[in-house]
Amino acid sequence: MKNNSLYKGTLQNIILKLLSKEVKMYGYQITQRAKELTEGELEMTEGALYPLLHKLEADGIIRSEIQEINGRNRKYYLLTEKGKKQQTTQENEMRSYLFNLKTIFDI
Amino acid sequence: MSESQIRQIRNYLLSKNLPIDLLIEIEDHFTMQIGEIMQNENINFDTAFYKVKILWENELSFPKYRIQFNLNDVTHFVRKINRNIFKETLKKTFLYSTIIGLLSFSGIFFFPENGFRTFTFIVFLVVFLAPLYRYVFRWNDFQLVRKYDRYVLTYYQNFILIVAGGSGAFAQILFRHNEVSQVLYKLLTGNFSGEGLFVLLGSLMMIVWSVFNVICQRKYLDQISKVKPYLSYLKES
Repeated sequence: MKNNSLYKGTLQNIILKLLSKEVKMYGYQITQRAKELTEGELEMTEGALYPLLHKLEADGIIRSEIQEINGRNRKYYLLTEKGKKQQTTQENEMRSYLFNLKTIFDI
Repeated sequence: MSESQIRQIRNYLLSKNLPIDLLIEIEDHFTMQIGEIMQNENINFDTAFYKVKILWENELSFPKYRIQFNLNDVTHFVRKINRNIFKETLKKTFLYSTIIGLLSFSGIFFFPENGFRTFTFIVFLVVFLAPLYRYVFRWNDFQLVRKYDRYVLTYYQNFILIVAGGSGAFAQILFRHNEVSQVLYKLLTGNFSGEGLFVLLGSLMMIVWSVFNVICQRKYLDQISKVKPYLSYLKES
């Protein structure tokens, strides 16, 4: 059963992880990739995604660039050097958190 | 998708008063989303467009009560984004202002009074001129706001006018630098006074004003470089 509220606090981790893997992505692509990887379980709302992307950009964790695709302007997001370091740290913290959660739920 | 369909999407999003730097990516998102719905559900553009409007309804609606310090109507979505951007900008401003403030007054440990005065004058001059220099040097880019005043090109344009507003007030600190540095020197060597605290506060405000402007100007110019290709779709004033 879907419960999007469980993903709320981890959205930043998810976005940074996707960007670390795909190098550069645009907004719609991020929502679709997350949905595809979780087989439809995670449906990122635009109201959650874009404010977070702009916050990360303002913080220097990601940067954006515009490219022309088929005559249209598309904004791609990429990790900065600061973002790459933060992504690694946050991923390690998340893995530790998930391991601890698993330990508790396996009792 | 045809050019007229994309124009329909664009006009819809323009009616929502989205800043153009944000509108560019939302237009792309709408286009991809509509295209996917048309393909998956085998429906026409108008029906798919309507469905996507419904999906975005909450984000792109305007607040019922206009309790905001903004003369433009701003949707919930944009308010959320602006709030985050403003918080991050303020954080950076206070960080860099603290560093520059400490640097400005660190001269007290290394110089006698005359040396301290010269040192603070140089620092204050650089601090004062930094936003003005960039504003003049990139005048054409800053004038785009007036040229396209029907639109908000980027959230950061809201702060550009502060450059003009603050420069007159803070120029006094430079014109009266002899008195200012004398009072500051006395304060920093332990002779506290109301006048000293006032001058210190004024100096710190100038530093904050300058740093905030430099950060916003840099962000504005960054965003404007991304907005420029899109200006051909907009109407000049």
